[in-house]
Amino acid sequence: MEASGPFTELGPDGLEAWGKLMDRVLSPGRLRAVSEGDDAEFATSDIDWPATPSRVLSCLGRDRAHQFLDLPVHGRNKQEEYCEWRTIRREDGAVIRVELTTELAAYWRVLAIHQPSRLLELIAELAGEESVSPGQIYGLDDPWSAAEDERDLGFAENMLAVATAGPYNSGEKAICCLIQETNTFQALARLAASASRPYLIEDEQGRKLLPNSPELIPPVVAQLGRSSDPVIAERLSRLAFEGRTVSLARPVGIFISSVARTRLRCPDGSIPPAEWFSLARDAGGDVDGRALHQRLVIEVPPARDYVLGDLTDVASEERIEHGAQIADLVQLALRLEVGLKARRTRPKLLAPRSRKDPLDCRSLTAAADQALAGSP
Amino acid sequence: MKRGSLQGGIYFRSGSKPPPSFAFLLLDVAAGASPAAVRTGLEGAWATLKELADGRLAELEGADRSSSKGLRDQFTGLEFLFGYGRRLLDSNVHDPPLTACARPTGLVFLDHPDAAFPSLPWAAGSSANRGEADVCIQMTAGHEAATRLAATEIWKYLVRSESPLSVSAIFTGFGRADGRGWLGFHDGVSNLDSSQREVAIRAETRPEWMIGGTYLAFLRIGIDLASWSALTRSEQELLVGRGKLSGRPLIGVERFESGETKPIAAAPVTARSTDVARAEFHEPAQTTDPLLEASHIHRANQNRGSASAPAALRIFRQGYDFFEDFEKGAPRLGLNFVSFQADLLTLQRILHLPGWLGDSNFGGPTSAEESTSARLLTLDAGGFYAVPRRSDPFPGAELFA
Repeated sequence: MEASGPFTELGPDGLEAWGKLMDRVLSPGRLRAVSEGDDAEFATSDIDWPATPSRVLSCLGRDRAHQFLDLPVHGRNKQEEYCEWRTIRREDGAVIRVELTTELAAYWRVLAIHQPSRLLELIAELAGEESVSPGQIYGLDDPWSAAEDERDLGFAENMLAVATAGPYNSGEKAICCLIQETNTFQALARLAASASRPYLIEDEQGRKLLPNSPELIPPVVAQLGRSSDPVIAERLSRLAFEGRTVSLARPVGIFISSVARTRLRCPDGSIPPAEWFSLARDAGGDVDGRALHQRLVIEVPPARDYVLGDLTDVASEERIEHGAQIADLVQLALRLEVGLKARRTRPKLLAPRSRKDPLDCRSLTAAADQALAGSP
Repeated sequence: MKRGSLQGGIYFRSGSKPPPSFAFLLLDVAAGASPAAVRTGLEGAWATLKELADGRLAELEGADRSSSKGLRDQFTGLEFLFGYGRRLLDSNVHDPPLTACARPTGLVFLDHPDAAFPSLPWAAGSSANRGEADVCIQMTAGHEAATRLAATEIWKYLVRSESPLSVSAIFTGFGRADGRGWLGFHDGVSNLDSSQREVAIRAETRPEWMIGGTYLAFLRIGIDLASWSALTRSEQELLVGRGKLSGRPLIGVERFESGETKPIAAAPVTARSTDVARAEFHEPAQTTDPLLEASHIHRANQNRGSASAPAALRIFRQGYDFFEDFEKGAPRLGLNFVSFQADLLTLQRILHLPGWLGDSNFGGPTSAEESTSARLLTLDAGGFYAVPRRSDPFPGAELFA
């Protein structure tokens, strides 16, 4: 595969492994990743959605959701829009920095297996430390001498489970990649494959409507009320209906497509400058001149006499008190390659169906009640 | 509460069409007024409007039959709604506060004099935003006389009753019988299918007093018609994303060696077209040309998703044109952009996000050199309003308990 940006860090073996993984995950479905040499005519097109977990806000209400989502384990486990963050606070509780990532755990696993030195260097860089101990990342003192599967297992155990992730991915010292249980490459691929089927909706009056109803996607692959799943499902099913060839663009990933910086105001009323928003981990697609960033850090430079928590969002007139408010400014994108030509399809006719508690608020509310009751 | 909880004047149901006359009346509450006095004033204003909608005018009670019939005919179809602005819930303006009810998250003041939205600057010389008020009353009717008379009757009532409420502004507008706006294009073609509008409009989240209601955004947008008219039809169509005469969505762009471009429109919809072809007319298929992707209709509806998908950012628009005057030889005109949405943050996202309308004044590519729409639109006035569900004696009465 074409390698650029962070992908070069995988090295030749890592790149090959990453390519094979993508092929394996995508092959059972109707999607694939576009490879070099594909001769079909494609144009890139993004599906985009806000990073803020809209289902959590709908179920819990805004204030409780914001508090809950900043909790280390339980809150992190509901950052379910393919974007996770950590919120760094001053001693008095004021927010001074928010770090967000969209990097897939699958990628980091490949990096951990094939490039331990680079992995440790990268984690140290993200944590702002000179170096990190392999033991804290791999559970092994000498990952270089260990077998590949030992490195893989050690890294997964120490870094990739929400409940047990070590300080370098739990948010305590750093955040490296996605670990929420549904923010996975596999889940994304399942959703995309399930949605990429041509169908039409037949309503109660017998009208045939375009396939834009997320209720039609099986609950096992899509969660209603989220920002991400319904819009991904609807967009792909619409493209399938149009008879477009659709593929995930390489490099495959979730990218930060934009940040609504103009919603923020400094205490003097000015809009914070772009330099305060550090976008990084560009996957190097550079298609149409657009970067493919996977990481955002926002903070006010120390020379100022105020911090991030003193900024206000004009869309809510609220001061920044939680990471979710920053996530609300961030727009994520899944990049597709869409065939230029449409072809005739034979869509299946489906009727909209209603679900009981489609947002699954009951279990979410119970989890939040328990977690918030135990938080300081 | 679900069915029929939305106030009148929101024409979201299948087959309903906004009548041609629009008035947006703004009221402010005098400093120091008591909640009870405000409640009495609003109750009276609501009752006045209900009487007018029934064709009754107190001072003309007892008039001859033909006069009464004329009055009834004139007010047939008068619809009205009450909304409450950020100002009403501002304890800096109203001390002591007029209400103990919580402010909905997105109910905010629009920034002024700095731009409220990054690509929609305030009109030159707008020294204050006249679109913010404590209370808004939207009135729609079939006759201009009905909305103007209704506004005046409310004013009369408030003066007569020595209410602490007073009129701060009125903005009026009209709809065209041909469905087109000042740009010459059909307006509202890309609006949501009627089956999805209620989902996009109805507020389902707290504060409790707003559940079952909706949020109204009012933006009085001036249009630089001279600049628009200087563009060729092709240029205009590429900015809008539709054919000017037909309204058909554009599906491609032909490029010539000279650098000229020619839009290609989709096939026409005819009486024999399928439901799907009709739906695609309103909600066009995926375009792969960057010029079309940058057009207004695609920027405003990037994902072509349904109202059930939060990230689709769907709102329901119900705009009315306005014409004020000729000034320095050019007309002062534009659009009363009125939208209804379940959450005002949805509109904020549309108007702040780059790629949507956060980096384009109307449509077209972002780069200033390429964009021919750089200063086509300016904001003359604007405000956000919470429109509570229907209730007695008037919507939102519980605010003043």
